[in-house]
Amino acid sequence: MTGPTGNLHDRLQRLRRPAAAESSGSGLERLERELLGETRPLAAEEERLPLKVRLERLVAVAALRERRRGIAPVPLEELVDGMRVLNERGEFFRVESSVHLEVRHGDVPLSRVHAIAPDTVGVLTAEPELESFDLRGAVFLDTETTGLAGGAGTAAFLIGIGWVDGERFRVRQYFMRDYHEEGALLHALASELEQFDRLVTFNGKMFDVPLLDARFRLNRVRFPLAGSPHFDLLHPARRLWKARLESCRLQSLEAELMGLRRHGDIPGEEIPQVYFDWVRRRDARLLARVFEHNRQDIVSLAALAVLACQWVEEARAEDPRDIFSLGRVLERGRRYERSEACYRRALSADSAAVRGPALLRLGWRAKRGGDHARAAELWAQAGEAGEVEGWRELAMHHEHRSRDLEQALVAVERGMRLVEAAARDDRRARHQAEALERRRQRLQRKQARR
Amino acid sequence: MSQQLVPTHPRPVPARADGQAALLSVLKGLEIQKTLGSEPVLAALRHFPAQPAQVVDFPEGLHPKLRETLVGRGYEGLYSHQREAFELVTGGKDVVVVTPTASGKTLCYNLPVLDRILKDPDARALYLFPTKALAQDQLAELHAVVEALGADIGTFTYDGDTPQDARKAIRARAHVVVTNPDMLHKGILPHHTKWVKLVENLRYVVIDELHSLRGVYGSHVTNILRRLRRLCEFYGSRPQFICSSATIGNPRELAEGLTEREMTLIGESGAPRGERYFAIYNPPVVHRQLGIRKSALNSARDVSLSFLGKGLQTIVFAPSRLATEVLVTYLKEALETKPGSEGVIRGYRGGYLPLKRREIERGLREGSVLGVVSTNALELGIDIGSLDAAVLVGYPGSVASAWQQAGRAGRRSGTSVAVLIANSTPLNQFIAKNPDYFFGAPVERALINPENLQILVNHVKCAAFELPFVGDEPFGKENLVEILKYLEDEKLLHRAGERWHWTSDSYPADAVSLRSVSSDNFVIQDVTAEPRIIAEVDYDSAPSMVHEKAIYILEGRTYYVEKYDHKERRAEVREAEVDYYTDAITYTKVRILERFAEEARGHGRRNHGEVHVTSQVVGFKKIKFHTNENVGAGELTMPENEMHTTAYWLTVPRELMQALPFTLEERRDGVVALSYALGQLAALFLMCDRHDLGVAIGDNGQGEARIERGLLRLGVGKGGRRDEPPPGEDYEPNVFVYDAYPGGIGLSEPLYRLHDRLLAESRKLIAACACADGCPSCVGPAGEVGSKGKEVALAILDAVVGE
Repeated sequence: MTGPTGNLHDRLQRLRRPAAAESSGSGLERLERELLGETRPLAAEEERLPLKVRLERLVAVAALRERRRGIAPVPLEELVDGMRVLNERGEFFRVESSVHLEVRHGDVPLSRVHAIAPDTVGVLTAEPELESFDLRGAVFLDTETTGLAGGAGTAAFLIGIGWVDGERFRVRQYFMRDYHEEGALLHALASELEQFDRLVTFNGKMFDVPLLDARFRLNRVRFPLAGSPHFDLLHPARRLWKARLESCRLQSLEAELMGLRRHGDIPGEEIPQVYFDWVRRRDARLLARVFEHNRQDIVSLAALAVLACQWVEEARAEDPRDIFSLGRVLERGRRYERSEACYRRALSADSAAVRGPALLRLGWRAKRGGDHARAAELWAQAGEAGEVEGWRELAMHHEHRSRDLEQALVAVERGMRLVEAAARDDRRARHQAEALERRRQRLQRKQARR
Repeated sequence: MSQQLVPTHPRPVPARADGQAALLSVLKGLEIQKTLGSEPVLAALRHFPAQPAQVVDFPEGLHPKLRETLVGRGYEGLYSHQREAFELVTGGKDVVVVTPTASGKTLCYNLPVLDRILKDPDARALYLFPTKALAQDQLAELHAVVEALGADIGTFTYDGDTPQDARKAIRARAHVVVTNPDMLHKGILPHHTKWVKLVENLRYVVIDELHSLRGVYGSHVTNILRRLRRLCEFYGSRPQFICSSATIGNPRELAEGLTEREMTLIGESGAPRGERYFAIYNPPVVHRQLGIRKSALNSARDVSLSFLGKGLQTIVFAPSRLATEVLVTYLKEALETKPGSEGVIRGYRGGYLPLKRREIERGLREGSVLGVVSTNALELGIDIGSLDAAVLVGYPGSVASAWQQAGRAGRRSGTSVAVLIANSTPLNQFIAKNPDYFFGAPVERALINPENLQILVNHVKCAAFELPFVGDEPFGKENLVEILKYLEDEKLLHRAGERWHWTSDSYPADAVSLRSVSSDNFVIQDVTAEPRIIAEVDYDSAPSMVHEKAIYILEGRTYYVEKYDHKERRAEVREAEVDYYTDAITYTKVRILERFAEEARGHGRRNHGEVHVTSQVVGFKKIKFHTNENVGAGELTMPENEMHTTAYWLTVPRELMQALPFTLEERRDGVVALSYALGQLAALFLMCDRHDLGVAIGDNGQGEARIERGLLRLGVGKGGRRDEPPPGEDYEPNVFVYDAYPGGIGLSEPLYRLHDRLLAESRKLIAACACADGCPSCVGPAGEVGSKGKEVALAILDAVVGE
C-alpha cells in the first residue's frame, strides 16, 4: 500500500463533523449561554424559579458580561484556600480543612464516632474481615474523576481523604492542576495513606478503588491500601434504607437521613466537563464548587458511617420498613435475638408492606431453632398476608414433617392462587407458579400411592 | 481445519462403496454435458496430484513433556512446516505460516507457545481469531492438549459471552487468552491496567485466519495491534507474532502490514494431500438472444445431487442466506424422502444458534450429515473434518475465498473435488471464459490501509485513552502531532507538559465499530395477518430494497412495502399478488475534492483522488415479470447518504465522445454500459467484494464532476436527477469507481495502477460476450442500457485504448 496522499491538515478538517448543536458544548459554555439568555427558558418557567435562583442568575450574568469585556479568569488560589506541594515527582495542589467533631453535620454528631463499638461495622456488613473495625483509624476517601465510564482513560483529578484526629475531623484534598501533576499527587497520597490500614468509601469497591488502582499502576506508584480492609457503605446503606427511600445515593441519604441540604452543589455528571474546562481555560469558578462538593462528600461519608453504626447499635429505626430492614441487617450480622426483636416490632407496627416478609423471616428463624410447630404457624400467617413463600414452606412442612399430604396440597393451592394472576407478566411469579405446579403433581402422585 | 493432538476418529461414512470411483463417475458425467451450440458445461477441469507427507524428527529443543505427549498420541515426528515454525519462533522470529486446510497449522503456534509456558510459567500468549466460534473451537483443542500434558496451564476464551464473574479469574490465571479483535479493542486494551499480568508477560501474539483481516477490518486491526504494541512497550514486553493464513497472494506483506514487524514466511506444507480436482461449471445457455443461462442455483442443485446421490459427503457454499435456505429446501426434498433420513442435509449460516452449529459441525465430522449448505460462515477454519466434494454457487468474490471454500473438500488421502458454478454476472463469466486467470495468475493480494484517516484518527483517540501520547511516538505513518493537535482542537485531547491526555467523559472504543457493515439491520414485518418478522435487510441496502411502494420478494412470494420506518429500522409489508417488481433509482453525485494523480493513457485519462459522494434513493421503476417492460415509476425522498472517500476514475475526452457515430442519447447509454462492466471487473482484480466499490458517472465538462446517474447495484435505471438537465454535446464523462467506505480503504489507488489492464479486460469481456445487445454478463441487460449500450461501450473502449 502506498502512503497517504494529500495535505493532512485539509483532510483532517474534512473529517470534522458539522458544528455541534447548541445543546452540546462544555458545561461552562452552556451555563454562559443560559445566563446570557441565549437559551433562555420560557418566561413562564422563569417566573416559577425561586427568587434566590433568579437573583443568582442576575449576578452571574453581570459577572459574565464583565468577563466578556476582557476580565481574566479567576485563578484557583483566589477561590480555593490551598497550597502547592512539591516532591520528587513534581508539583500538585493540596487543600486542607477540618471540622470540630462537636459541630453537627446535619443531624449527626460526628463526635459519636468515639463511642462506636469495634464490632459494629462487622455486624453492619457481615464481612468477616471487617469484624473489628474502628472508624477512628480509618481513612475516608472519595474521588472526583474525568469520567464515569471507567477504563484506563479515566483519571481521578481530585482525591479527598478524611480521618478522625482527636476531636477534629480533618479533610485533605489532592488536586492535579493538570494531567502531568498526577504522578506527584499520587506519590504524596501514597505516603500519606501509609499511616492508615483501613478504608471507608461509598461505592468504592466498584468505582474509586479500581480506578485508583489503575492510576497508581499507570504511574508506577504502589497503592498502599490495596487489599486492606475496606468498608464500602453503599451496600449496608441500601440494606438499611432502600425499602423506604427511593434513592440511596449519598446526597439523597444525607438529605433524607441527616436533614442536610446542599446549596449551589454541582451535579456529579457535570464534574468531568468542569475539569476539562478548567485545564483549558484556568477559570476556577466552577471548579471551586467541585472542591466543596468533594469536601462535603467526605464529611457526609463519615457522618453516614457513624449514623449507620448508630442504627445498628441503638435500633433507631422507626418506620416499619426501616425496622424490618434493620432486622435483616442484624440477622445477616448474626445478631439473631435483636433481629427477631426487630421483626416483632415491625409486625406490631401493623404495616401491610412488612407484615408478610417479617412473618416469613420469623418462620425461618423458628425453623432454624427447631421449633417447627411455631414455624408452621408463622408460615400460614405469612401466606395469609400474601407471601407465596409462606405457602410453599408450609407445604414442605406438611409434606416432609407432619406428613399430612392433604394439608400440603391445600397450602400449594393457596400459593398457586396467589401467583396465578401475576405469573402472566412476571417472570419470577411464573417460576414460582411452575415450581408449585411440580410440587402439586408430586403430592398428588404420593397421595395416589397411599 | 487442523491436525489435532488428539487424533480424530475415523469417520463412519455411510454407504460410500468406493469414493474415488464415485467421484470420477460424477465428473465424467459433467464433462460430457453440452449446452446449446455445443459449448461444454465444464469450462475447465484441473487435476492436482496427491502429495506425500514430509515427516521430520521432533526438534531438539522441544520440552520433553510435550514430546512425550505427542509420542503418546501416536506422532512419529512433525510435518516439516511445523518444525520449521517451531525453530523459527524459538529463534525469536516473527512468522507467518501459509499452508492448506487440514495441514496441521494449529500445531505451528501451539507447540512454541506451550513449550515456552512449560519452560517459563510466567509467559503469556494472546490468540486472536476473527470470530467467537473459531475461538471456541481452538480452545477445545488447546484444552485437550493441556490436559494430555497434565500441566497447570490456564487457557480461556475471553469474549462478549464470558460471564462477568469469570473475568477476574481469567485475568489472573490465563496463560493463553483466546479472543477476537473486537474484544481486544473494546474489552481488553482500554482496561489494560486490569490485564497487567498478561501484557507485561506477553511473549506471543497468535493471529489465525490472517487473510480475513483485509480491507476495512484489517485496517482497524492494524491499528489495534499498534495500540497493543504501545501498551506492551509501556509494560516492558515485546511479543513475537505468529500468524497463519490461507492462501493469498501476499501473506508476508499482509502480515508485515498488520504487525509492522519483519516476518518470515513458511509457505511449504509438509502435510500429505490427496489428489484433487477443481472444475468450473458454466450453466448452459437457455436463451441466446438475451444471453440467459440456466440459473446458478438450479445448476448447483443438480450438481450437488449428483454427488450426494452417490453418498459423497458434500458442502455447498451459497452466496446468501436466502440462497442457502432455498438450496437446503431443494436438497431435502430430493434426499430426505425415506423415514430416518431427516437431517442428512443441513443448512449452516449466521443466525443459527451456537448449539445448533456445534451439532451440525459434529454431524459433519462424524458423517451423520451427508450434505451441508452454508454461507461463507463455514469458509473459515471451523473443524468439520474434510469432505468429498465442495460446490461453490457463484464465484465467492476472491480467489482466496474460492480456494478456501474448495479446500473444505480434500482429504489427506483419497480423492476430492470442487466445482465452481458460474453465475451470469460479468465477473463469473469472465472466470468461466478465462479459467487460466483463476488457476494460473498470481492470487490477488489482500489490501489494508491502516492510514485511512478516519480509521487512524479513531484509533489515535482510543490509544490516547489508554495511555497519554508523547508527541513523537511511532503510531501510523501520518504526522502524529498534527493529528493530536486536531484532536486537541476538537477538545478530545489536552496537552499537559510533554503529553497529550484524553479529556472527554466518553469511552472512545465504543464509538468505533470494526466492521464497515453496520449491524444495524432493518427488519421486515409482514402485517398481512398477525404481524411477524419475515426477513432482515442490511442497513445500506434498506433504502433501495424496502422503500415505500417497493415490491419485496421472499421465497417467490411478493410483498408490497407499506411503510418504511428509518428511525425504528423497520419496514412493514403486506402480501400482494402483483405481476411486476420494483427497481430503485439511486442517485449518486460525486464531487472531486482533490486529485492525487492524473495521467493521459492511450486516448483517455486515468485519475486518482479524493471525492465527496452523495447518494440517495430518489425513485423507483415498476418492471413487469418475464417481459421486463417498464410499466410505471414513482418518486421517493429517502435519507441522503454522504461521505468522503477516495476514487479512481476514467475520463473519456470530449472530442473522442463527439467523434463516435452515435446519437447523444446512445453515447450516454454507452457510458452507463461501460461503467457496469468496469465496476464488476474492478472488484475482481481488487479481490474485494462488489459492495466495497461504488460506481458513478460524472460530467467533466461541467467543471466539477456532475453526475448523471448512479449504478450502485445491478439494474439501476437511467433516471437522472430531476433538477439537472442531462449532459449535452460537450459531454466529457468521468467513470468513477470509488471506495464505498468513508475515507477509502485503499482500493482506488491500485485500481489507478491497474487502469490499462482493467480497460483491456473489459474490452475483451464485452467483445467476447455472445449476447446481442448487452446482458448481465457484460454491460448489463439491454433493457437497462439501451439497445446500443453494448456497441457504444465497446466503441469507447476501442477509441480510448487506441486501436
